[in-house]
Amino acid sequence: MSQGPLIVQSDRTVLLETDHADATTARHELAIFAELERAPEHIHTYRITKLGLWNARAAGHTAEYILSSLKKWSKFDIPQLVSSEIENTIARFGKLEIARDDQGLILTSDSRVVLAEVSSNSKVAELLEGEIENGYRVRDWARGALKQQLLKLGWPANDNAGYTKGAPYPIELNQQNWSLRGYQREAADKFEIGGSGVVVLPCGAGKTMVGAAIMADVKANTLILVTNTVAARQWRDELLEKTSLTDEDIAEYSGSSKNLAPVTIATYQILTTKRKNEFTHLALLNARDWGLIIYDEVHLLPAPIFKMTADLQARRRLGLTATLVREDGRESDVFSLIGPKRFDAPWKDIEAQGYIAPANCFEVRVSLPDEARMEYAISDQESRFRIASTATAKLEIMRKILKKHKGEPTLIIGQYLSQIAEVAEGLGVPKLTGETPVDVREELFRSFRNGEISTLVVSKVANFSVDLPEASVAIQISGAFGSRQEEAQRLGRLLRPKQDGRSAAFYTIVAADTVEQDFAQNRQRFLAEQGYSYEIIDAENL
Amino acid sequence: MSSILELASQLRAKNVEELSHTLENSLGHGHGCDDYFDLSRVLLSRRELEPKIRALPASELEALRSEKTTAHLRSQNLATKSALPEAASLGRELEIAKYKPANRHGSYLTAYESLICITELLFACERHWLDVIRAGIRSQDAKEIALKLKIAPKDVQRIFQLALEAGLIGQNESRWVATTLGMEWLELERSQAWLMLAKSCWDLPVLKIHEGPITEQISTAYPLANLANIKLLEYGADLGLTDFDNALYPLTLGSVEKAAKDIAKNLPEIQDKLLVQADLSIVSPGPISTSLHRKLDTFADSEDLGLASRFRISSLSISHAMETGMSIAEITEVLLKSGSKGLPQPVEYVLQQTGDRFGQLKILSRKEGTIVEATDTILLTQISNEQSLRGLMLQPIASGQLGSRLGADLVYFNLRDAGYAAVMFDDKGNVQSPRVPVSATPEIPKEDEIASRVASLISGEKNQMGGDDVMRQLLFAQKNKIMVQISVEMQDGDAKQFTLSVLGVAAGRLRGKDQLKDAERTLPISRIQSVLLV
Repeated sequence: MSQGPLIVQSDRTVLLETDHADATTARHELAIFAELERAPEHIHTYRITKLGLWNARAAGHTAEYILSSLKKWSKFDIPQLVSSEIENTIARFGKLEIARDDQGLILTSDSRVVLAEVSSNSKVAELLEGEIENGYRVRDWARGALKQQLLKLGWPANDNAGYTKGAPYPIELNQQNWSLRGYQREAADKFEIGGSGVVVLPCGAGKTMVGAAIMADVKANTLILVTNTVAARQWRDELLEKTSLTDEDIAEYSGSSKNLAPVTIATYQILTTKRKNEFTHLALLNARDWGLIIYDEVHLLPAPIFKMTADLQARRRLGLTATLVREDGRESDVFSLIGPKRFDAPWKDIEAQGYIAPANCFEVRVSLPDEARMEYAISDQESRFRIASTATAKLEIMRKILKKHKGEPTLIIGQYLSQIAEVAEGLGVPKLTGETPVDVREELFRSFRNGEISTLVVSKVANFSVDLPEASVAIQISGAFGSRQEEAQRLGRLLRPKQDGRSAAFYTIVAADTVEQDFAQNRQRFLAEQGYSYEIIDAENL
Repeated sequence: MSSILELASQLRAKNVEELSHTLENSLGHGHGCDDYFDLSRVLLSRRELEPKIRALPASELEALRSEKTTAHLRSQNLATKSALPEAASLGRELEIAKYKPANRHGSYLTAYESLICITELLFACERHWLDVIRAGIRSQDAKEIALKLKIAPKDVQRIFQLALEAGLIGQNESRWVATTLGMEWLELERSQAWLMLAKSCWDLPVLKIHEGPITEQISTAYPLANLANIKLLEYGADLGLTDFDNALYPLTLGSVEKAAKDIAKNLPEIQDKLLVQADLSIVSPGPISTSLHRKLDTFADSEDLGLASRFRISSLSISHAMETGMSIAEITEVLLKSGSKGLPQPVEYVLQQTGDRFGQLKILSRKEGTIVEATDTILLTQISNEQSLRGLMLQPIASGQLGSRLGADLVYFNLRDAGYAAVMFDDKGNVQSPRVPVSATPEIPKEDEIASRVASLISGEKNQMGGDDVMRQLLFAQKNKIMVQISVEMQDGDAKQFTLSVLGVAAGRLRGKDQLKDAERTLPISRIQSVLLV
């Protein structure tokens, strides 16, 4: 047995010793079939999952390759259960194939047993029509739903039915003043090979440009689905600046305008709007002969969109995200309906390449005054979190931090609207919440970018898809219960390379010895697991 | 001659050592037997015969069934100079006991996993209140430990039973605790630790084992063996001795000591290297020794145990270590000595803060219950309002004090589970460690009990020596309500057989009920030629 950098454990986790001489090479091979779970300083944890194995198999890797890679780099024997499970799981991929003949879609297999098993399932049966040699005909509309059901049964199908090209449209990248980064090009190339799938990149790593690069490769009418109107406008601005597309080529389909163009950007919200129990804007999906559909922040894809996506299987689909982990556990739906993961990279690797800003994280613990402590002590569990989160003692700490980072563009991020209002008033700075009109929001962002204002108090809206390249300090004053996704998003707001190369600073102010401190520990653990070190500071020592 | 009579005669010929051995191997250990007749009757019961017959190797079983007699059968009291019909008949009647082989993977790695599982169980006994239930530990407790070890909860329950067998865990009232032996086990080298476990269940019948299907090997050599009763088959996979139904190489070496050497040689090599990370985790990128595991478990919570392990420190875990006598400096030394170059700031912060605050929340045991004491009255208010602690019924009893009618242990564990780093103090103000060592109490009777029973049997026998066998058997039959078949010399000189239940023996006459004729008979004892107890 080698003295390699990996330790394979019987629960299918794989630990990677980052200080080992062979760590980088081992990691490249490991990432093909294992998902990165956490990456603190010295030991990275990967997990071998069925989805990960099927992703690898979809990319052409065999069980033999996977096992030989593990054996090559592993310090100890591979647990026998793990070896067996890898072999059995890989063996299940591709036993079923979805293809197309001159009459339409077909599902075939060289195993009568597997065919009998899946066809006897009632949910699969209703998607099939008529037996053929070695298989069944598949209803025209059922390609996505069939893949979904087969995956649930543990028999992921190899989808070789191809794609409709969609109506062609010339799109080029305009790289006069910039160029695509190496990992962005690699992500686009890997997507091209796969046909459909998901690209996982950290916040600030330029997922939009990956989308643009793929659009330039595909050169077809494109539908881009985003989380909100602000994000839609950011996409538009980015595409106008970095590609050959013009104003006439891009349309926004949202609450305020229902235009269509060769590149149309729509929000998830508009698609899931219902009137009289019907999805009013479903026709958008068939409004043009789309050659590519992009799902921005695919980890937030609303559940109804999955159903709609099931019907879009003939179109190439690109999912973009910083994390494949969904709070509702529907990663397998992303796999079967959008496509397998085609590319990902750990945050610290991209930071090391200089594309995202390094960040220093701090937890500032402020002791509550006796009156507040007593209020906390006599309150019920639910109220305690709010009391701790909105403690007025935090305001003075914010002042100290702002003084320490005087002049640096700073976001103060909170969850409670009343707290946001108090802080904005107390510090004499503008605030931005869900209630702020879109044009006011955009004006505030513009002012922030230009340096006209250096501090902004924001609520959850700033978590997602807000592009503020010059924010270098974030002060988190309250947050949702232990949401790792939220932590990732908030840090993402800072992780743009700063022009002067300075590091970003991320402060979390917590009330000491309260339930808020406990939750903050979980969230901070996430940061440490991503490789960001943090310090705990008592407020009086700030 | 009746079997009871024959066997009694055989017992009479045994010396004290042989008699002691007979009683030790008897299920009831001779309890309630006044003489050899009583003992013979017990030994000829199905309850006594069956396990001995099932333990017979094939050749001896064949002899038994053929009503032959061998030295081994005699030593087991399954035969005398002649066969014992009861034993022979049962030998023919008994069927092969049904058994489903354990469907579990075993290897050197599973042996390693069992060692760390038991280490973790011993620490769980110390850090949490583990209720005593028949199945072992509560399913929730088993599940928590199983998650760390990445095994199934039922595997944890089984390995818990192995620890019980080995005397490492015992009962203290309604709670499982680590025994003194268990605490000593934690100090042993891995080979010794494994040996102690293996010895507690090394109960295979005498047999040369080779690699391959083990139940088949045992059944061939011991056709009636009750495999379900063989502990080694139950725990073999956990000890790395069996893999599904196959004997692995260490089991073929012929002795538990040799197996221990082989297992120890093939366990994953200990690295004892620690990496302390900023998320308060302590990771060992390889197996750690039991002694380092113990130290880590004292001041950190285990999260993930296997070939690599992950622990995490918290204020509660550090407080626990300080209660057992460890200082902050000692904790720091363990971390630095095992390879970490400096500690991340959050780790230093938590260590210092916990050290500064240690003992501020006190638990004091009193006759009427428990007192929770602190100078921080707001903290006490918070505790008394804590929903999860409602069951403790904590009430203010004085400034800086809450009282509960419940015991200190219960209050202590509940406060800690709610996140409060409470510390128990005794009357003299000394910190009380949560460890409660208990001596394991084996169930086998002590040697002097056996000796006294042997003496009682011998003296009981001497008291009967005045009577002859006919009288003894009749009196025995009367006492135990056993039927007798007697042969009586009639006046015409012929011998006649009667089957009677004995109603009385007096004045030289036997009064009995003839079962066949349903009539009472009175017969002169002097004319009774033979008595057979049926």
